[in-house]
Amino acid sequence: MFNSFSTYYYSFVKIVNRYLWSGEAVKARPVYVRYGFTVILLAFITLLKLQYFIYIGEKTPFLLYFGVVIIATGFGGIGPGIFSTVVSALISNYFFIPPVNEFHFSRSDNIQVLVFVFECLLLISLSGAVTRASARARKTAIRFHALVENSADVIAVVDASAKILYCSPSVKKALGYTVKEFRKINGFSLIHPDEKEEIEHFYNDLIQSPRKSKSMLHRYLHKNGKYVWIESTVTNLLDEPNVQALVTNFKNVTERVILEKQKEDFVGIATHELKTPVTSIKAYAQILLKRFNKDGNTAAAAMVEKMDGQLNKLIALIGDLLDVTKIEAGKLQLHEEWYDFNTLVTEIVEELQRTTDRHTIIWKLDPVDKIFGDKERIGQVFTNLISNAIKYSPTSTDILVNSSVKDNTITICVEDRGVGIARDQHAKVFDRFYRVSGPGGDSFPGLGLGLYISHEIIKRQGGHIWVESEEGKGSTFCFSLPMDYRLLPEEHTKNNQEANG
Amino acid sequence: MAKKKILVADDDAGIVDAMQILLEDEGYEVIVTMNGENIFTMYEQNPDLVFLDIWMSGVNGSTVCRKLKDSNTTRDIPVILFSANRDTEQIALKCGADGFLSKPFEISKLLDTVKKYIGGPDENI
Repeated sequence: MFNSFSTYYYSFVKIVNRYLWSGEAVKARPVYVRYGFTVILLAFITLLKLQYFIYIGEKTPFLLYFGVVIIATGFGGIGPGIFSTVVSALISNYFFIPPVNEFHFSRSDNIQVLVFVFECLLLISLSGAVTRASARARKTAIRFHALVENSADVIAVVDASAKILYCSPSVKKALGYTVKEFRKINGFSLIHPDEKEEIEHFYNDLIQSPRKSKSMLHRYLHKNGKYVWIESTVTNLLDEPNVQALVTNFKNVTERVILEKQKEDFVGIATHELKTPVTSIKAYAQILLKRFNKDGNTAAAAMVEKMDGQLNKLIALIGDLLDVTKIEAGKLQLHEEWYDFNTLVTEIVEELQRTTDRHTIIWKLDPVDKIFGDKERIGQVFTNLISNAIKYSPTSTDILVNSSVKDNTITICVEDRGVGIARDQHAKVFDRFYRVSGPGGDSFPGLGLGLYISHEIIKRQGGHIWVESEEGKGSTFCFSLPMDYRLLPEEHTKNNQEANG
Repeated sequence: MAKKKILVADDDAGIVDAMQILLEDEGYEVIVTMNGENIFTMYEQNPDLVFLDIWMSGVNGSTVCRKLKDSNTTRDIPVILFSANRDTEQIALKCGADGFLSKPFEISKLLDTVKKYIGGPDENI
């Protein structure tokens, strides 16, 4: 009952808005229509009043003429408004202010008429203001409507029970359904079975968190029967009184996902193909090294050893390329176990010490129990930090390694006296492709991937990595790791994929 | 006494050749195949240890590994999975291989692995 009443009320308001108080509609009407309409209205009201003179004429000469002025202004603008005011005043004077059926201009008559005219002028200016405001509101509404309707992303408004209240037409392009068809579908029924539970969980979570916004990437059944990849962002506006719904925008990103998959596969194959010849080159180099050593040809042996060192750099670069691709795809896998942190560090320090004659690695480690994580990956991070310390301190010799244990967290720092990093660059060193510039502005060689990968590895295992450095004085890179990151709250170890959607 | 025999199965000629020289330098007898399907006939020569590449042309190394470990006649011969794949260790665990070696490798690591499973070329363990 109430519902149908409000529906009628809104359609009434809609009609009034369309035909009255719409600046553009008024301007679009020809002058004779505007004045003609006013004259007809005046005539109609006057006949009505004459017909029922006793009820609406005799004691209230101006009754209904206010209405005429309002409607005439709304329909025809200020001109017909003033016109209807003057005519109503004259009609009222002639027909309805006693003595009737004649014009008379006594002092009291004039005051009555003047008050009427004044009130009407107020009404007209008010009506003008309403017209302008409503025109502005309409324009804004139309603009936003156009924005939403023509957006390449699908925009949908969903209530708490996942019923679709509104959906923009671009859904046809994204999922093949028309808006009408799509609104009849239960949103969850088209989600890929493998992801359904996860998405439902995600959705229920979001409903509980007002004003929160979440993104996700999942498969959805297209009208053509094939699954497509959909990337969506949902914002909970249930507590916003004017919305009371979830607002979502999503798009079909199948092409992008396929391309990413191809790129990932390609890098996987390419790194494998690169590693294969490197493996045999490295093996041959080591055979040569052994044979030169056996024959006592130390000069040749030294050269082959350097060659082997260069090969190791090449192998690390190939590994970095593969790692970055995996991180981007959210597929960097960790192989976790309990391992002895200090043994790992000692092995790496000893191995890297062998690769440099110029630098001395001085290390002091706090005793620590076994920690849980990916030993190889943590080793990779530590190797990266020491290699960087060696690489970026071409003129100094000492590299200090210190570790400390506190509150179930191990912190290890690698300190050098090298070129250092300017303060404004500190935040950038863990970005992809960042490279340190040398003293002369020339950059050091490298892909700029090592610290980015290190940051990712440490983050995934619930740790932190940071730098303290001053240009020209050297850098200290540190990372800290919890003994067992599984004991941390979930958000500390969110991997890339979850963060991106 | 006969020398220890090592079978190397890999589809890359360079790797097969280098492995052969490396291991023969150490005094082992080496037999090789570049065709994954041949591996079962190679077993007739009674190798003491097998190096098996994961990604052999036409044949999936981990499937071969699984077959070798499922069969009574071949089960007892140690299989070392070796590959450029970063997940070599996991694949080795899954298919029942005795050990793994990531490519590229240090010669010392290769020899450590060999010694761990069959000892020196003339040793009996």
